[in-house]
Amino acid sequence: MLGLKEKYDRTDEPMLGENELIEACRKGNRASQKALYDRFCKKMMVVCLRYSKSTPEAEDVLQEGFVKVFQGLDGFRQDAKLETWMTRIMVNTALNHHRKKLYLHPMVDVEELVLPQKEVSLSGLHFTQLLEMVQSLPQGCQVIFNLFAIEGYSHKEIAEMLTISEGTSKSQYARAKSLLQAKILRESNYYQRYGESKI
Amino acid sequence: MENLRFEDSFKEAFNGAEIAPSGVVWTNVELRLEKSSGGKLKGRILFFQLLAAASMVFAMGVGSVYFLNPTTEPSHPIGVVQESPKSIQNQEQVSTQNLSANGDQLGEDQKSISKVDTSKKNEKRSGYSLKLAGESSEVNSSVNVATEPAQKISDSETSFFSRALPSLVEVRNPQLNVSTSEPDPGMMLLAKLHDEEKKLQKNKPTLKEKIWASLGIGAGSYNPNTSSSMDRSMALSGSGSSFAGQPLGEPSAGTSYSVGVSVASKISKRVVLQGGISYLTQNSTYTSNTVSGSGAFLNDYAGLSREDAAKDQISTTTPYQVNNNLQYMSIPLQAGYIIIDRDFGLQLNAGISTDVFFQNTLTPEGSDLDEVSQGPGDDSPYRTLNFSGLLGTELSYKVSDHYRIAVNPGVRYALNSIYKSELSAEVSPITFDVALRFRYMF
Repeated sequence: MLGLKEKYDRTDEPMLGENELIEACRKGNRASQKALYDRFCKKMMVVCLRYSKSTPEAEDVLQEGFVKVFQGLDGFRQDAKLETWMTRIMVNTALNHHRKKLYLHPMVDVEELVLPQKEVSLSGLHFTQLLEMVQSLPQGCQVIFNLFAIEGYSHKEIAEMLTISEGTSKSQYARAKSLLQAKILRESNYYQRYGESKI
Repeated sequence: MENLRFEDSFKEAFNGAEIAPSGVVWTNVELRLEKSSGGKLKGRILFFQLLAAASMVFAMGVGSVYFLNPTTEPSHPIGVVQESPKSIQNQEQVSTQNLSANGDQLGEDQKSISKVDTSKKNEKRSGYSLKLAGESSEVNSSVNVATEPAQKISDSETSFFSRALPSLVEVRNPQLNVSTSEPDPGMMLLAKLHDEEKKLQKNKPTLKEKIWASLGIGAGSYNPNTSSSMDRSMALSGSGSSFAGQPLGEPSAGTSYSVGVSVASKISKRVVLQGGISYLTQNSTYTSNTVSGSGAFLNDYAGLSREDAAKDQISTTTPYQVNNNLQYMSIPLQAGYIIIDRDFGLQLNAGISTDVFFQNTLTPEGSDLDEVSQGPGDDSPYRTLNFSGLLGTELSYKVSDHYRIAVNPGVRYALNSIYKSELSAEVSPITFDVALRFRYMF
């Protein structure tokens, strides 16, 4: 039986010309659309998982995102990398998908949490463990952590995107970070004690 | 610095990470894409359908205007005068005055109008020429006589020149050289056209296609059109027969064939009355899983309560197919309207058909059950006389003086149920068929 690590192993497929693939997809060639999907679906799935609480939820976002990608490919100017453009679409789709939840559970400023004094290291942790930690964060924290730490948006940009205050974004991020650090520490202690990861 | 490393390390951990989604995702994406492209296609199809419909309406409109007005006057060239003799005389007086009043203003540097080309030849032939004062800036539309006194111009000549000039050309000091040695060309042309029209009417061939007879065969789809609210056990003609019990599901659409002769006559230029006689057979299939040991037909079965039927006569067996065949003698009477009456003909037909029931035959497929037939009569569940509405078109082509070949797509709708009114079952079949007819014109 395959472990999670083997299951999620990265694959290196022979790459076709990206421009040719884009052109064929624009013409509605289904085989090319499938090829483009195959090329990027795994990376995009990770993006969707980071913003979701479960795999089915992430797959819904992925599906919606890819439909938008194929329908909006005519508007892709190629001034950015295709992967970057697709990631942006997935993030926006995920935000729209979760907007209702965010509306139901509005983000508010949270008190500054005391950060663990001990330096945390991610070494020895597989990305799937980190993914689980991100998914376990409260909804608002999860979104803001992803946007700030991984997508690289500023708090000002996040505040505009989510129609919240910049302060709320900062405090939610701080909370997310402290929660993650605590989880990482726990995972590291487990690793040190038992010599291997839980997965 | 430490915080930055934390974010960077997170980013690094996810950089290039991949997780395969389930195969359902692509299937759903593909479905969504198909759906959206299908929507576009539907839109395109709708556009073309609307375009085709608009073209048809336009063509029929133009066609009907053309064909309903066959005696349209031939178009006259611009130079031909169409006023009544009285008005021509009135105009003559005015124009004669103008001619004499402006007679002194004739210029030497005049040039001919070349654009009034429709009457140009006639004018030249008769010695008239219409000229313009080229350099004059004052627009003067009155007609001048250059070479002869106004008093000498005959009635017909003045009427020709005093007519309203076409607005195609801006006339600047038009001047006219009149010669009275030849008759008026406009009037000549009118007379000529009148003669030609008379000739044409005389030479017009007499209407040959007055009465004709046709021999035709037809094939199409047949829908039993059972009423959904009815008792299923009565749904088809075979239900309750010696082997065929309740159909398991809705009867499937079948086929219809016909062969017949018809006679038609034109009762006016465009209206046709036609009648005839034809043999009609309609086939459909259904599945049954019941048999009856008594040999009772539908009316007997109908007389039984369901409980009696279930207890005494009906038993269940493995499902089997039953071919249901209905035969009629059909006597249609139709009125037709001829839209196009040329070598290619187009006609719309509508009417009513009296269908005399002949026989119903039920043939079980792949079983050892016997075939059963039911004819008309008092003990038959079928009405002997049935009436159907007919609607169709006839596209024909004249292949010789006496023969036409025609294709008739049409629909036949039963106006009453084929079962007698005392039965609760209602079946009003609809048939779409295309007939091929060979027409002999007397």
